[in-house]
Amino acid sequence: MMKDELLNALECAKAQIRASRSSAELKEVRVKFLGKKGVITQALRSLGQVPPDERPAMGRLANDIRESIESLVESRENEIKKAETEARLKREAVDITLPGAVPEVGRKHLITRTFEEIERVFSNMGYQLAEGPEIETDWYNFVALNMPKDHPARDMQASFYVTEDILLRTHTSPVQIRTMQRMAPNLPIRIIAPGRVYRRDDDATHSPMFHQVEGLVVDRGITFGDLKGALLAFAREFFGEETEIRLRPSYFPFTEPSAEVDISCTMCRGCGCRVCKGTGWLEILGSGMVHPEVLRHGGYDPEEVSGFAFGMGVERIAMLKYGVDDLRLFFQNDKRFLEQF
Amino acid sequence: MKEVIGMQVPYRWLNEYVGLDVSPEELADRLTRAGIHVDSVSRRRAEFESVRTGIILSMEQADGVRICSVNVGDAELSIVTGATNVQVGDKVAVAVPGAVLPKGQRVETAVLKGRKSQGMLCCTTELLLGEGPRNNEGVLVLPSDTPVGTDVAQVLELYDDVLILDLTPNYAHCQSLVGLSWEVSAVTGAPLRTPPTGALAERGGTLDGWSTVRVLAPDLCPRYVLRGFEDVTVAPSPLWIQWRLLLSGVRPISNIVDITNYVMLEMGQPLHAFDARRVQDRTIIVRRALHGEMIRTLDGEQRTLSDEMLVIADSASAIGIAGVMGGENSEVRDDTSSILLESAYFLPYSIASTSRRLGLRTEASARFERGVDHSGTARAADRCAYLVEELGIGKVRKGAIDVDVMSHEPRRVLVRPDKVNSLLGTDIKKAEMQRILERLSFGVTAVTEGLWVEVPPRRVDVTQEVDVAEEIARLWGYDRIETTLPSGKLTRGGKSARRRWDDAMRDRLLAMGLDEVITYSFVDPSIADMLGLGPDDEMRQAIPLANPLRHDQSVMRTTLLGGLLATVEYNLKRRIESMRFFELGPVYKPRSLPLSELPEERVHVAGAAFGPRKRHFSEPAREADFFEVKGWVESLLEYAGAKPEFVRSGLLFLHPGRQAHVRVSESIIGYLGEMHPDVLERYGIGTRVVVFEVDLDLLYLCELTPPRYSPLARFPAVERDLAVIVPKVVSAAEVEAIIRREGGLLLEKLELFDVYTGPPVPEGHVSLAYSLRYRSCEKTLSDEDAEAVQVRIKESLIREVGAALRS
Repeated sequence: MMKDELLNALECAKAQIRASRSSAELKEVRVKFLGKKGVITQALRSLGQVPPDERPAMGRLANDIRESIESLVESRENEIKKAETEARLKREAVDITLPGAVPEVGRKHLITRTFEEIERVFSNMGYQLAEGPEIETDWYNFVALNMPKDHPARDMQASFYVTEDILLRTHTSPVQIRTMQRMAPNLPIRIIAPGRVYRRDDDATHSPMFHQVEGLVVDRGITFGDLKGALLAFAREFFGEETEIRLRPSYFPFTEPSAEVDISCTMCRGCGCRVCKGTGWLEILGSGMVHPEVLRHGGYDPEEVSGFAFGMGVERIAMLKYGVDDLRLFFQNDKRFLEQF
Repeated sequence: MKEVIGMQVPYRWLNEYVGLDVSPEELADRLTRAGIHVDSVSRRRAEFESVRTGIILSMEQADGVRICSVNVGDAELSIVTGATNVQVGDKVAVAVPGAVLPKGQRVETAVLKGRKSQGMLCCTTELLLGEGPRNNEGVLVLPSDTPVGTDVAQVLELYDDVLILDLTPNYAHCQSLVGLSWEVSAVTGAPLRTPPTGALAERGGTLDGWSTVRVLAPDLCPRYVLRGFEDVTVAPSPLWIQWRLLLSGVRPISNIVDITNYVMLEMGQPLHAFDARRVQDRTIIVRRALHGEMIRTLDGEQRTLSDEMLVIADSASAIGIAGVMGGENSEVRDDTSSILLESAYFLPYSIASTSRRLGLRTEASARFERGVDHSGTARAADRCAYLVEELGIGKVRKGAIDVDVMSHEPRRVLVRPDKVNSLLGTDIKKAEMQRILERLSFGVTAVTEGLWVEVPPRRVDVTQEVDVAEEIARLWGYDRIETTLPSGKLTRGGKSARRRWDDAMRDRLLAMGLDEVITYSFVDPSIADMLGLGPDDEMRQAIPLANPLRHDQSVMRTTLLGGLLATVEYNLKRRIESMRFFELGPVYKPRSLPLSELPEERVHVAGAAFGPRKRHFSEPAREADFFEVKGWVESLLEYAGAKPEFVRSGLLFLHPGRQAHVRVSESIIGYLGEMHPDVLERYGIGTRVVVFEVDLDLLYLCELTPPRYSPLARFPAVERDLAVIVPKVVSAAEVEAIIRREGGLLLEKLELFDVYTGPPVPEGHVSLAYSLRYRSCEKTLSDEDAEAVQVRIKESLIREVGAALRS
C-alpha cells in the first residue's frame, strides 16, 4: 500500500517539478513533498506502522524517492535560475553606440604646452630655468644688451614704457644679464628663460604680448659650433629626428657673430610648400655668440670666457608644430580652440 | 625680432658696378647666406601695353594742334598731338588704339578738336607713371636708329629683376648699389666696375665767395660739402633715370631732385638741393634749432623743433631739418635756375633721435642714422655735378666748399686668428682669413700677433675683433662650421621648487576639468569701475603704460578677474553656453605710484564657471554655483597641503550672500563667490558666473603639510547618522566644530549628506544630516561606546547652538 503511495507521490512530484516556472513555484513543490508536512516526510514518519520485515525496504524506498525529488528540484532550480538570468541579461542590454560618460579633463593652454615641451628638451641637456621681471629697467632691457640710447636697433623693438627708465621688457634677453650678475664668476652657465614679452605692435602677425624662450650658455671655450650643436639637438628633439637646421648670418646688437636659424619645413620636409613659401626652410629663432660688451655687463671677462645665446618666439613655434594659422587665437581663449589640445 | 630696412635693387643697374655672372635668384641665395637677406626677387616690367615705336611721316598744323601721320609698322595712323617738340622723321612712342597705360588708362580712337586721332604720342610721364605731361615736358623722342613697329618696353629695355632686400641695421653700407657691389664681389668673386664718370668742366662762376658755409654745430655735423649749379633748367629727367628710380621705389620729381636721389641710391650718400635764390645771402648755417622753432617741411607739414635737433639755416631762418627733410621755403621749383647742393655727414644718433621725435622717416634719415661713408661726402657731390653736366641740366660752379673737422684716420683692429678660431670652433688658417678680408676690401697686414685689419670707412659696423670674426665666419660659410656640443662641467637641468609647485597647482586644476586660458597682462583701466570697486581698493592701484596702443590695454592688471570676465563674455557671444576655466599668471603690484622702482610681480591663479555642467545624458545637468567653485578651491588647497577656512567677506563685486574669503594660517589668500548681478549687467553677461582667485605667492608662504602615511585601520568601525535642526544663523562650520570636538579621536569621518529646510523643520531653521564613523585604533568599538559619544555630541549641540534633534 505504502509503496504505491510513495511511487505515486514520486510521479506527482516529477510532474509538478517539471511544471514549475519560477523559483517560488518550485519552492512550493518542494515543501509539498519534502517539507515538514510533505508527503514523503509523512511517509517516513509513519514507517512505524509498516510491518517490521518490510520496514527496511520501505525506508530505503522512501529515502531514495526523497533524494530523487531533491535532485530533480535542484536541477530544475538550476534550469530556472539560468533562464531567469538569461532573461534579465537580455532585458538589460543597452545601445552600446550611446556616448560614454567621458571624464572631464582640463586642457593645458597651447602656449603652456609648448613651453613645457621646450623646457623638457633643454632641461634634459642640463639647462636650468631662470627668470626675471616683466616690468624691467631700460638698462637691463637695452643698455646692458649693447643698445645704448638712440641705438638704431632699439627701433627693432617698439616698446611700451611705464616711465622714462622702466618699460615692459621687449624680449627675455634681460634675463641673460640678470643671470650672469647672479652667477659671476662661477661657471658654467646653462639656462633657459621662458616668459611673457611685449612690443608695441598689433596686427595679423604681431601680438602686443607674446612669449619667448631665451637660452644662454657661458663657459670657457664655448664656440659657434657648440651653438649649432645645441640648436640642432633641440630642433631634432622638438620637431623630429629628420629635421635639419640652417644658420644664416644676421644681426642682433647683443650677439656677434649672429645667426638666424631655420629648420627644414615641417610641412613639406624641405621640398617647398605654401607654409615655407617654397623655400623649404622655416625661420624659428635668432641666436649668436654673446657680445663681449654683454659679457662684461654680466661680470665676465670676454678674454676668459665665451658664450652663446638664442631666443625663440613660442607662438611661432607652436603655430609651426600644431598648424595654427592665426596668432589671435592664442589670446581669445575660445573654448572651441582650447579644447583642441 | 625683425626690424629691417627694405631696399629694392634693380639687377641690371647693379650690373653696372659689378660684373654679374649669376642669375638674380642665385645671387639672392648667395647674398642671403652671407647675411644680406634677400626676401624675394621680383620680375618688373613697364606697366603699359601696346605702345609701339613709330616714325612721323608727315605733319600738319591746325587749331593749335598737330596732326601727324605715323607709321607704326603694320599701319599708318593719324594722330593729333598738342606737343611742339616733334618733327617729321622723329621716332616716337605711339599708344595705338587699345593700348593700356599705367594706372589702367585705355587709349582708343578719339576725336580731338574735330579731328579723329587714332591713338596717342606718349611722353615719359605717361609711359612710366600713367600721368599727363609735366611742365616743360614734350613727347618722348626716341633715337633715330630705333626700329619702327616694335614694343617700346623692349626697345627701351623697360624690364628688370628687382632684388628685395631686408637689411639688418648693421649693413648700412648695403643701402647703396656701390656698397652692395662690394658684398656681391666678395661672395661671387665677380670683378668690381666703375661707372662712367669724367673730369668736371665747371663752366660756371666760382662758388667760394658767391656762397658761404658756417657750421656752428661741428659735433653733430663734422663734415659739410657744398656745390653750386647755375643756368639750371628744371625739367623731367631722362627716361632711364626715372625708370631706375621707379624700380628702386623712389618717385621721379624733376631732373635736379632725381639726380640727388639717383646718387643716393648709387653711393649711399643723401644729397639735398636748395634753390639758391631762396637761400638768404646764399649763406648756409648748420646749427641746433631754437627751442620751439617752426619749419614747414617739403611734405607740407608744419613742424615744431627742439633745441637738440640740427637744422640747416640761411641767415634768416631754418631751411631744412638736417638729414631728415628739406624746408618748403627753399624747395626746388620749376622756375629754379641756380642750386646749392648739400652733401654732409651728420652724427647717426642725432638724426635717429630727431627722426624718432618728429615721427618722420625718410630715405635720407634711414641712411644717416645708420652711418654713411664719411670718406665719400665730396665724391657724391662731384658725382651729382657730373650728372648735371652730362645731362645738360646746367653749369657747375667752380670748386666746392668742404668744411671738414672729421678724423679720416682709418680704423685698425688687431685680429688674433687663434681667438677667432676658438670663438667659431674652426681651424681657419691665418692666410685664409687674410684672403677673406681682402675680398671685402679690408686692408690687411700680417704680423706675428695676428692680422692688422684696416676697416674701410663705409663699414661703420666693424669696430672690434669679434666684428671681424663675424665677417670671416659669414664669408667662410656658417654651414661649413662643424657642429659640436658644449663640453665642460655637467649641470643639473630643471626648474626651481617654486615653479614646479606652480606647475603642480596647474595640473591639479586641469585634473578637475578646468581648461587653461592666457589673457593679456594689460587691461582696461575701467575694470575697477565695472567691478564697482571702492575708491581705496588696492586693486585700483594699477600701473599705467605711458604709451599704450589702446585704452583697453593701458594698465597692468592687479587681478586676473578682468581676463576671466572678458573670456566669459567672448565665449557667450559665440553661443558657448557653459565653461570651466582658469588662468595662472602674473599680476603687477606697484610699491608706489608713479613707479620709482620695479613693481612686485606676483603669481595668481583664478578660475570661473558658468552654465550647466553635464557629464552624461543619463545624469541631470548641474548649473555652476558657489559650491562647485568652492569645491575647486578646497581640492586645490588640500592638494597644496593647506587647511583653508572660508569666512564671510564683503567684496563689492560679488553676490553679498554668496562669497567668502579664503583664509590659510590666519592670512587671507584669496576669495571666491558668485559675481554680483550689477557687475554682470555692466559686462553684458546674462548668466550666473562664479569665480575664485588665489594669490599663489601668499599661499606658498603658508604652512603647507605634505602628505604623510598613517597606518590603515585594524579594528572595525561603527557607523551612525545624526540629524540636527539649528537656527539658520548657526553655520555648518560651527555645528561641525562641535561634533569634531566631542567626537575626539574616535570620530574618524564626518560627512554632511543632507541639508533641508521647509516643513516639518520650523521657519528660520535648517536641518543638517551627517553620517559619522567611529573607530578606535586600540580595540573593536561596541555600540555602547559609539552611543556614549553620540549622546555627548547631541547634548553639546543642544546646549551651545540650540539644536533640536530629529530621529
